[in-house]
Amino acid sequence: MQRDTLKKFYIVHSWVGVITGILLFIICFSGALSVFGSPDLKLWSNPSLHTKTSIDPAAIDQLVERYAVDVPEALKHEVMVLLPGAEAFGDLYIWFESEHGPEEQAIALHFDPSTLELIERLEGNPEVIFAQSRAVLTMEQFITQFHANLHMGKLGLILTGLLGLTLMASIVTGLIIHRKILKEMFTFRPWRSLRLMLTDTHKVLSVWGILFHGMIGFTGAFLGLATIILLPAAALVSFQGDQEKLLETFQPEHMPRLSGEPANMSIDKVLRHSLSLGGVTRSIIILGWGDKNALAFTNTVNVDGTGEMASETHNYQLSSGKHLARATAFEMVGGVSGPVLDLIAPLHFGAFGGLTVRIIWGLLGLSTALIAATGIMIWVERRAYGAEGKLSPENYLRLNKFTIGSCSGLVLACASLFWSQRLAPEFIMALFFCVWAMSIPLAFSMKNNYQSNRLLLGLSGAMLMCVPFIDALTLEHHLFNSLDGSHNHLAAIDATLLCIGLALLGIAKRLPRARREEQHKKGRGTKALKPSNEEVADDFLEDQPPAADIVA
Amino acid sequence: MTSTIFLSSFTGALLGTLLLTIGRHQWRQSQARRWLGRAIAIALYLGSLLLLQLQLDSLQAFFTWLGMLSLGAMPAIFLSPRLIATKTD
Repeated sequence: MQRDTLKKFYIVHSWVGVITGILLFIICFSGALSVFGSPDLKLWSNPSLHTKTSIDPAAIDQLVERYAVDVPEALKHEVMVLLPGAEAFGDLYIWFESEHGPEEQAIALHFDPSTLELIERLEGNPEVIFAQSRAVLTMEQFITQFHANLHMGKLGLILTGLLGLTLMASIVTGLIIHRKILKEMFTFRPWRSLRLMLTDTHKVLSVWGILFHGMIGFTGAFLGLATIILLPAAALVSFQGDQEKLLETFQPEHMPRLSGEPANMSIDKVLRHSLSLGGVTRSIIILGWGDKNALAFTNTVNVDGTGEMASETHNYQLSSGKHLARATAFEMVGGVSGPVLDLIAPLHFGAFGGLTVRIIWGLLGLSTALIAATGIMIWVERRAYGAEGKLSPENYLRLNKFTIGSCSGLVLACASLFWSQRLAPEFIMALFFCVWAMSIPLAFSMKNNYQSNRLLLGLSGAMLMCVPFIDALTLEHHLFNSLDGSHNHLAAIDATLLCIGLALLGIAKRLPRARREEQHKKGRGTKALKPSNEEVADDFLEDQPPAADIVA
Repeated sequence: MTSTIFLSSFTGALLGTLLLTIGRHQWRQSQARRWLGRAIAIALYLGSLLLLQLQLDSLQAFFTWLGMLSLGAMPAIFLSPRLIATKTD
C-alpha cells in the first residue's frame, strides 16, 4: 500500500479514536462491570438474595391461582411469572396483562422470594408500571442500563450502537496502518520512554484481543441499533411496517386456539419439568389462561456452559403439563441468521460459561477500555511533547486532564455505587453523576496529570476497600460472619472488592508523581524545532518496533 | 475441578505466548530451538482448548479459549521484558 494512503488511514484512526475515545472508555468500562451484573452484582445489591432461596413450584402455582381469582378476565390474556433468583429476576413477580394495544392494562404483583408475601401491587398501563417499578434502581440495574443506553433512552441506544461501529472502524484502520503486526504482538518496551510504553501497551492489548474487540464492536452495534433501526427496517421491508406482526411471526410464544372448555392450570408440573432440564428457569408466560388449550412458555438460560449457548423457550400444554417443544429465541428466523442472532447476546455479555467466562470477558472489556484511554494519551503525547500538532503543549495537556477526570473519574463514580447502594439507595443515580462530575474539576485542580490520576485511582481503591466494612455495619449477612457457609457468594464478592481496592491503592502508590524531567525537556525541545510536514506525517511509523528491541 | 481446569487452561495460554516471545527475541541464532519453542507453544495452546472442552460444550469452549488466549497472552507480553532482561543481564 502506498505511503500516502497509509498516512490517510493513520489520520482517520487517530481522529476517530480521539473523538470517540472517552465515550468508548465509558461504554467499555461500564460494560466490563455489567458482565458481572447478573448474578454477582444483582445478588450483592439485593439482601433478599444473600442467602440461597429455592423455587417451590407448588407454592408458586398456588400463589398464581390465588391472585388470579380476583383479576378481571380481560387482564388474563397473558399471565407472566418472573421467577426469583440472582440469575433470574431477583424477587418474584406476577403480571396479568390484557391484549396488546393502546388500551393495554396490567396488574403487577411483587412478592418476597423467601416468604412469598406481597410487597407491592401496581395497576395501570404496563409501561407506566414498568417505569414505577424501576423508579428506585439497584446499582446493578443502574450500571447495566448505563452501559446499554447511558440513561439517555433511544438516543443512548443509537449512540452506543454507533460506538460499536466506530470501534470496528478503528480496528480495521489500526490493522491497515500497523504493517509489522507480528513484531508488535511480541514487543513491549516499558523502560525506553513513556510514549513507547503507551504505544506498545496500546498495540499489545489491541492485537492480542482483536477478535474480542471486533466481536464486542459488532455485537454492541447490533444490540444498540437492533430495536431502533434494524427492527423497524425489517418490519418495513417484510411486514409493511407492522413491528408487532414481525415479532409475533418470529417469537416462539404464540396464542393457542382456545377451546372454550375450562381446565386446571398445572403451573406446578410445568415448572417442575423446566427446572429438571438444567440451566435456570427465568420466567413462565401463560397464554389462554383457564382454557383447556392454554399454553405455557418457560424461558431457560444456560449458566454453566454445559447446555445450549442461547436462551431457550420450552412450550407446554398447561392443562396437562405436557412438554410440547423447545426453541431458541431466533430459531424461527431460520437459515444461518437464526443461530447467529442467537449467539449475539450471550457472546456480548459473556453469559454462557459461568464465572470464568465472566471474568475473562470483564478483564478483556477492561482492556478495550484501556485501548481507548491509551489511544488518547498517545495522541496527546505526540502533540504535547512530540512533533505533531499546532497548538501549545498546555492545550493538549488540558485535554489529557479532561480525559483523566472523565476516565479515572468514572472508576471513582462506579466505586461510589457500592457505597450508595448500602447508604443511600434512593440517590444512586444522583450520587453517581455528582461524583463523576466532581472528578473533572478535581483532575484540573491538581498540579499535573500524574497526580490527578493517582488521586482518583487511590480514592477509588480506598472506597472499594471499605465496602466489606460498610456491609458489616448495615447488613445481617456479610464477609465477617460468613464462616457458617450460608452466604458464600456475598462473602466472595466482598472479599474481591477488598482485593481490588487494595490493588488499586497499590497501583496508585506506584504511579509516578510527575513526568520524568529529561523527557519533558527533550519533548519541548523537539516541539520548538518546528518539524517539517513529512516528519509530522511519518511520526507514527517511528513507533514501529525494530528487531529485538525488547532486550535493549 | 472446574477451577483447576480453567487455571490450567489459562496457564497454558500464558506459557505458550511466553515461549513464543522468548523464542522471537532470545533464540534468533538457533532455528531449531525456535521451532521447538513454537511447537511446544502450539501444543500448549491446543492443550488449553482441550482442557476447556472437558468442562464446556464445544462451541462455548472455543469462544472461551479465544478469550483465554488473549487474556493469557497480555500478561505474558507485559512480563516478558523483565524475564528476558533478567536472563541476559
